[in-house]
Amino acid sequence: MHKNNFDKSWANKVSKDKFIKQHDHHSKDGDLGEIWESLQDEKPKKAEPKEKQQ
Amino acid sequence: MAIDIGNTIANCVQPGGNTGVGTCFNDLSVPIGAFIVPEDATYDTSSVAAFLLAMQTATLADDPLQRVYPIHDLLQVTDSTPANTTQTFNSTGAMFVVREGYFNWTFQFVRGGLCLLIALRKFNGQNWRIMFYDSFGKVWTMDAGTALAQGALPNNYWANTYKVADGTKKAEYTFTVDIEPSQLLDNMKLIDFSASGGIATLQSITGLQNVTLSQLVARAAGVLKIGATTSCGTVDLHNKYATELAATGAWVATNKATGAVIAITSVVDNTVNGGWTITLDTADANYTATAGGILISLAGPTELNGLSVKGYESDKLAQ
Repeated sequence: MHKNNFDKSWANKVSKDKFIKQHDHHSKDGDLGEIWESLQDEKPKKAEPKEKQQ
Repeated sequence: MAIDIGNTIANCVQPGGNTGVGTCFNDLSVPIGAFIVPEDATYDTSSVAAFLLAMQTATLADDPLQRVYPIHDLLQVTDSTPANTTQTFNSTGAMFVVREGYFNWTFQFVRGGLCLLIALRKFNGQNWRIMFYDSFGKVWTMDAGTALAQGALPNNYWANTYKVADGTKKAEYTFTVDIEPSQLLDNMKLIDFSASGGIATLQSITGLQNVTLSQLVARAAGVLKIGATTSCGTVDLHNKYATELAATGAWVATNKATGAVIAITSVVDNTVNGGWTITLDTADANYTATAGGILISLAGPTELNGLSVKGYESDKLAQ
């Protein structure tokens, strides 16, 4: 079982728990939690707060 | 007063044709293949490569009405074009051609056999055009304007009943076309592949095979276990494409009642059952728990080609 077997866009919409529950029939074939994590898009980094101008 | 009728009847727009012969000329050879093409389709002939691409793309068209259907390995052509109908003037013996006969050609094939014949019979009585290619690598098309070609529109196309093998000859699978002659003569446009890969290139334009899907294990909630074999010959696709078809983009699930697409969350190679485990999103608004309420199929030929699975179209299996 490989992350390419899963719909990435759907995996990005749902929580890890829901992803694991949806595919629990594959639980013996691999670590679903790891697969969910590998499918997650990189979240944009939060902009660091600017220092207050004196 | 004389009546000038010199400009009143324009029946001589092209006064004959130049008869000079250069180094290269077009000579037709034995037709060994054909393409059944849509009645309203034209194809780019700005270059041989452009024509090839247009044909290759069209063989994978998801819409069967826009698809090109290649037929290769025609082994025998029988020309039954009738002789000209003539009139002889008895008083003088002068003889005039009154009309020409239509091209009437019958093609026989072996490769593809009964399956191909049954497929070709589905075109009987319909308006499809046809192109041929000969053993010199020239494609016989009909001019459709600048840098465009279309197929000839047969007056009649018919894939015939087979003649039975009798111990001295093979079963005969044939189809016949009857074509108004100007289409593949005066208005003919030849596309010459002889310097562009020849007939090997033309034979690489392949048609689709039908795939029959089967249920390997009864559906459990949103989990389907599906196998796939070619309809003719029952070759198991799982043996060849287990990995390629283990992708959500390779399959389409729809609600049978509404036709709406149901999201597929995963497709995993199912080595135990010899197919694929397809998991549907049971939270999708189009999902139904009704038995037989979901149609599953492979994606269209173009999408499959993008996954390196070339030349297949599946049926829809109710689950």
